[in-house]
Amino acid sequence: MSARPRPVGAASTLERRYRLLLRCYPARYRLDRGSELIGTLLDMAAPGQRWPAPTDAADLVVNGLRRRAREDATPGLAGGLRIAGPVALLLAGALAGFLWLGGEWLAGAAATGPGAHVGPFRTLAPVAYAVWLVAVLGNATLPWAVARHDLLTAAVAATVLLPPAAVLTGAPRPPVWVVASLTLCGLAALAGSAAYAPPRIRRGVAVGAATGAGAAATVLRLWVPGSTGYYGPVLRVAGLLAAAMIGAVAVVGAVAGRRRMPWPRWCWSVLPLALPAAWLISVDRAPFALGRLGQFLLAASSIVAAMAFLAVRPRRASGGPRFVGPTAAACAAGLSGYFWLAAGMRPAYPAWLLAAAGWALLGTAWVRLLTALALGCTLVGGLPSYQVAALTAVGAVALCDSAQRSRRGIRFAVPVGGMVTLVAAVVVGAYAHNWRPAGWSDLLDAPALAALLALVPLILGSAWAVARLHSAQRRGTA
Amino acid sequence: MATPLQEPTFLVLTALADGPLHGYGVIQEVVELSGGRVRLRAGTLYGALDRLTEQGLVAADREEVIDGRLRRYYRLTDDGAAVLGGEVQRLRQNATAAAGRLRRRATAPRLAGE
Repeated sequence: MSARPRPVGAASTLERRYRLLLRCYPARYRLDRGSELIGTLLDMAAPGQRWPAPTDAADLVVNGLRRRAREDATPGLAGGLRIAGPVALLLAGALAGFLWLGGEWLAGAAATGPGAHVGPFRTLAPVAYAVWLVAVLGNATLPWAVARHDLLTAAVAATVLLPPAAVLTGAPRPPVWVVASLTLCGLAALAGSAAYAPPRIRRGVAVGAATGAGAAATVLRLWVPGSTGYYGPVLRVAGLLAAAMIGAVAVVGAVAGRRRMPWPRWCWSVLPLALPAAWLISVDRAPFALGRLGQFLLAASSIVAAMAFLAVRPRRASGGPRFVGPTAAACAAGLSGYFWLAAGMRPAYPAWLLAAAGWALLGTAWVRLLTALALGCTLVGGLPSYQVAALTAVGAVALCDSAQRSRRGIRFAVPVGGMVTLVAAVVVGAYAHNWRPAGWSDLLDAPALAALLALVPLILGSAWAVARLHSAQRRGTA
Repeated sequence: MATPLQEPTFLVLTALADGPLHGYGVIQEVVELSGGRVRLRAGTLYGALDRLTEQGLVAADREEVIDGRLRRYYRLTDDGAAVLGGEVQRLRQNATAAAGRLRRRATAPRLAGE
């Protein structure tokens, strides 16, 4: 290959700026095609041009991201989302119809007293439900794909805006699980291009949503007693509806599509639907009585860990995700900070903060020593049992993965992760007071609930362990 | 290929019908073919070339380095030529049908008030 002289002056400045824009493309693509693309771009440039033309820049960004989406996609992701997208829209439509009828109309009619309802309804949610129903109907009938896509976006926006609108107007809002599940269904529908599905599928989605809502309303009416209360009994049926939907996808995928559907695509078609289903289903009987928050965290972190496991591309799968130890250390520090603020000083709390500082500043041996010290303080420091359980479990995960600390970025990740955990714990305090805390003391009086945040690094740790075992097996069989 | 080609794709294939061209050459040729109406941006062009290469309609021909810039030449494959030929046929049929209708319209007697 002949040597390439470096361009000088304006050309080199322009080339540098183009190379910056080319970072929108995947690294492998840049390696293969970068020089050629730069060559063409410089051929097109006017003499003395120093800045990329805005239209060229936009074109590179759009095409680079498009390429990235195609190339970086995990095996099975695109195909799985294409299945999950329409089903998620069907689920959102069915939930909107059913919750409007069961959670709002019937409950609103039964509610008494001032402030117990908004017009004929129980909360503000019917606004979002109406947008969802219009979106499902429009998706089945409108001939313009862009308009269909915009309608879905509007439905997601209307759902996300419910909590702030409720705060601003003082009107009741639907449970946060309903908002989270509908939002996620909408995002899955958008990611799975439900608006671009063939007309037959889009019409089927509308019919399926109406059928699902009708079936759920019938179940509520005939078999669930006390169905006029605020959302509680209604959510139980909504959970059944979501579970039935994901079950149908899982079974149809596993049986009918067994030959055509490789397992990653099957997983990617089920996992995005599993999140709203797991959030809506209520498992509140012993020995699984974690409460809604615990269930939410358990379901979300397990499913996200499964997605992360699937998303690890084969060439990078030499040991699984590498952020487990720092996440666990950050979580222990954040929780300790919260416990300290909530219940006063105990030696274990500064010990965990010190250990987290060690992750940011010191070598592996020091990190291990400080983590072990913090674990010791936790075990003998006379803490409440739930704090001992949470900090010990998270600390053990941090200790197991402490060798990873030399990775770049951890220096900032651990303090930031600690702060995120602390803020999350404060949010849990707000949740414990039905999102209407009277002051700081209310935000700091839910340490037992906040300890559930330890589930997040624990689940990630399990996924990491499974990934390590998996890669060890692959190396063993290679 | 059953579906009609998009105009930029049609023009890229047409540009390569004469012989291999590098990226910038394709852009210039497309401008000329379309009478200045279609100016492909580099990102769009390479997106189209990637897609056409994956479909086997276009293939990389050779590489050269000129003034320190890498140029890769692309050529139309036999499959690409067949697809382009089919599209030309389709467009010709459509154009003939449309021209016939317009001729009939021009010569047909008009009703009063039309």
